[in-house]
Amino acid sequence: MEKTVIEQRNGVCYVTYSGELTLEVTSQLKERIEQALENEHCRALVMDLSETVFLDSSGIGFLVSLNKKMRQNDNTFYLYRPSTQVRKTLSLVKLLEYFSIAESEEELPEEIAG
Amino acid sequence: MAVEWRLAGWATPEQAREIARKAVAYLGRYIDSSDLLYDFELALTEACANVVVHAYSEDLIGSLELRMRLEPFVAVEFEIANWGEPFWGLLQAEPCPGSPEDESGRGLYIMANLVDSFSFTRKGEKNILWMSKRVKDSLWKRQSSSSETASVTSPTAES
Repeated sequence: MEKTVIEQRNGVCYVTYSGELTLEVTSQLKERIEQALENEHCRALVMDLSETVFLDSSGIGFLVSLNKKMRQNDNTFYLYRPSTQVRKTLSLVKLLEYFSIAESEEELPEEIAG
Repeated sequence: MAVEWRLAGWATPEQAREIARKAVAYLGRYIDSSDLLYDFELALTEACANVVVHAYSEDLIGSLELRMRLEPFVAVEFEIANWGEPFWGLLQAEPCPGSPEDESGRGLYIMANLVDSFSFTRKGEKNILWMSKRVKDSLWKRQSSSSETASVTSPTAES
């Protein structure tokens, strides 16, 4: 069962996503996150994928889209503690270097860390 | 002895994912590597999602069928079929990871990298994606030597 928690603190949007990130959920999830980003100006989006158990190409497209959207507005996007499965899929399509990845709060910039 | 397994459903995002999930659950009876099972699940999810996105027009939901053939201690073969638009573009497409900024178009590259061989064919009205992978002896569960044929057909793969 998928579960999304979206929190906004001090201009940073924290999204925790548990479950499978696939074609089944990406459209709806993208809508929810983009709405949250619009409601309050967020200079950074931190996406916690530690409980994301499966990632397919639709999920990859979703993450790329969020990254582009944030960057276009001079904002930042972090993948936070991606699970083994997420890392495996991203590695397969050679995108591990493309994303900014943080494995702990210490690896996030001070103004972003929760 | 080979084992055959089959499941059909509608080409919706939910049923396509469910078909891939059930196929991998079945494979888990025979294969003892979670890493390899993840690879199969990803390849099958991409193959089934490909049908959902490309085979049928938006106002038409068509069928999707997955067939598996296991030759224990040797190889696994998959056939993913649909009866929608022929995918002529894919017949000659070269798998490519694309640009990092691309938001789509990675499915074929993912599938190609997870199996040993694959092909697209059209037989009559049926489009078939075939994939095959050899699985080394040590990755099979030792009790999986009996012959078996499983066949499940359901218009709602969620049953």
